[in-house]
Amino acid sequence: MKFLVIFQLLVVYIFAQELNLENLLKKYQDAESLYKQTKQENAGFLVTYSREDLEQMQAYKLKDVLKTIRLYTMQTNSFGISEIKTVGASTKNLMPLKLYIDDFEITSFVKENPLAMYENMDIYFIDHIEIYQGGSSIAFGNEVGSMVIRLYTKDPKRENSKSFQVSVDSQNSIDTRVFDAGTFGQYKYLAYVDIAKEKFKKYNLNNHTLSKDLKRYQTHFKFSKENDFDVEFNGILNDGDSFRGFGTSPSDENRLKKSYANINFTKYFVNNLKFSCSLSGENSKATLNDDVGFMLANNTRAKNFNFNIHSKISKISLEKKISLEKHDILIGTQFLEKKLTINEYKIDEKDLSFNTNKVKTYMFYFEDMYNFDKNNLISFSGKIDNYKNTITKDSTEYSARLAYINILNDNWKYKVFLTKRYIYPSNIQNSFTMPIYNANENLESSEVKMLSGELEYNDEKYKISIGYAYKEIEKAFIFNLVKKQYENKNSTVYFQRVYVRSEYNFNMYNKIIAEVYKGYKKAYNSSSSGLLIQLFNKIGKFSIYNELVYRNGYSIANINVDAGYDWTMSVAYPLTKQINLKLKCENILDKASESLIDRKTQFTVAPVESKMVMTMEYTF
Amino acid sequence: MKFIIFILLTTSFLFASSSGDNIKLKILQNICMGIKSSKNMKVWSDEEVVKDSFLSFNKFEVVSDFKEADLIIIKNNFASLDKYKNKHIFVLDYNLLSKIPNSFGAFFWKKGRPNIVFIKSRLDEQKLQLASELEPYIEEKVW
Repeated sequence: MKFLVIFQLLVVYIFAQELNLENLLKKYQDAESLYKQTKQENAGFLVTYSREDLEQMQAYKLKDVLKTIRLYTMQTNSFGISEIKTVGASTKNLMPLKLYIDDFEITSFVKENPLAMYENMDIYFIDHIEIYQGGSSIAFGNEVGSMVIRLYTKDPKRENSKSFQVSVDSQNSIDTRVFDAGTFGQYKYLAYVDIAKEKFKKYNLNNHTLSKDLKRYQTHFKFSKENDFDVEFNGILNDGDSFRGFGTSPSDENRLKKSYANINFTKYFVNNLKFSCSLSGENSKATLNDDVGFMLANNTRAKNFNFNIHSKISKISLEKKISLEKHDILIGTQFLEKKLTINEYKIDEKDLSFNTNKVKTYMFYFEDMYNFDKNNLISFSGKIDNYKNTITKDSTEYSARLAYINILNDNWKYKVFLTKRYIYPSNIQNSFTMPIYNANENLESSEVKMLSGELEYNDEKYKISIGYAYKEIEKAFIFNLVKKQYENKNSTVYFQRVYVRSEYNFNMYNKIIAEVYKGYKKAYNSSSSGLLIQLFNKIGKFSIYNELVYRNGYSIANINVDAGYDWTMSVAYPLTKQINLKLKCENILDKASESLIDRKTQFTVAPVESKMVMTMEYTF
Repeated sequence: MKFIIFILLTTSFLFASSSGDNIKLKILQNICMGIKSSKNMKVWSDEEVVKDSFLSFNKFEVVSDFKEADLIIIKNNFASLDKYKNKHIFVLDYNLLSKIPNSFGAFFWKKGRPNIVFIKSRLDEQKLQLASELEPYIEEKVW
């Protein structure tokens, strides 16, 4: 009996810590995290950045997250815009990435890559981020991408607050955000505005100062009724210096102005029927002067280039989910129209005119998830896309994906995906391009076949996943330096990728994430391997975060680019219930991975600058 | 001995599951256990699951009509509630704290985090005393 009493007391003692109210609140917050409700395990190999992670990382912009993504390296292009390139990819390689804000896909027609517009976006209104790799789901709709980045806005039901956050950095940038979200009755609202004046390190090239300073205006509004409808408006405007642009002796007056806005309406009907429609407008405008002149595709030089390009994208989609005994079926159809209008295209004061380019896409897709039993899931999805173009020839493309997920026991599970998809030539490859390249109207879609698998071990404290992917591409897009245009490669291109990610939770407040990857291909034009270490700590009221991003060195045309080590550290302290103080030191060692901007002068730029950011957040 | 068995049983119940709903109930139970009272309290809630979770506690008697209750835990407001000034009302929605002047505390989401708050003036007015564990959550006003 005594033994029983001692045993019972021991049990009570062990759980005493758990009974602490603060710990229970933290456990409740973790258990109810929104990412647990939105993540789709069968949709790819998933990396999630929870709200707590993002806050502790002090990830203010999307690119603060992008730089940590495995198998990708952040680079800066000649306009000072951050891009991410997959292992070994060249700067000319356009990444077919997909970016979502809630259920709305950001579709760009001017640049085709949504990150060209949104890499610098502020994410104060975002709750969590999901990254899907390894042959992501066809059921995400629209054109299939190699990686899907999903941003989910904060849930007004969990906000009930107004807040204001201002950041200043050691380069004299200032970024101000205002956020309000809450509910009234059955309705939810979210309003967010961001105004930033960003300054960056200046570079000197041929006695010309290169700057990528900019002003950014960003907004997001959402009004919704649960299980009934959502209306969202999103807008961003970046107005800044155009860095090096196309030339080697750019004028200090050169400017690049990009804007994007969309409105999206979604209606949820009974019986899992969803209808949505959206309208997006995009504008890109620049004035580029160069003292020496930049080389055009026809091998002549131009000293002045002005452009003003506008695109309009309309989208209507209808989706229906059917749940049968062991089947979960999704059927969807979508109509997408992209229209590109060239308002101005002037080279050395000479106006050139272009016809309006219009692409209509009719899509049909389905997915059947079949649960053999509670531990085995097989999913098959297919997609047919019919393209009708005004400039290039019409085509019909097919995608298919087979997924198998097996839960071996409480700790082990594995996923295998077999994907066949295509990469459709982008507008800037086949119909309209900048004057330094030629468009190739005969460019055909690349065909991608991919086999990928991931094995995962998970227990209360430890999680490890090992992933592998084999990919082959027929008719891959390669850039012909002589013809100055994209072409389809005659032979097949092969890739292999492997990664290991492990996460150890010391307790509820302290964890470490370590990840390593390596890509294998015939030739490397960017980093082929990398490492990420993230350390999340809480000491008293202090939240501390350390991050190391390593990318290996590589060489292009006998020019060596050194390996990069980006160490970032963040500390936050809640001064009162209303005031939160934050300090972030980025690229502390000033050794972050660099991008080669100009081969002749071997001019390199680090996409992540060494700087200190101080932030104050006030909650009303 | 009975006490130890009671603690063990309640502890086992509390940790039987770590789903969000169960943790929420554990938090509510902790809050209510921390309200000092010389007699057993009659509890009513507009959420059945909350009412059910109090059935196993000797300190509380779950009643079927809110008019009989000493402690009311509510997620939704209903108009007649304002008339019952002698009831202790604990709310599960931030907005209700302002709407119901005699609500003494709340468990709610704010800025993406679950929060607990007790309003000092309302506690004093209703002569409610809290266990030391709950004191850090006492605020001067609704914020």
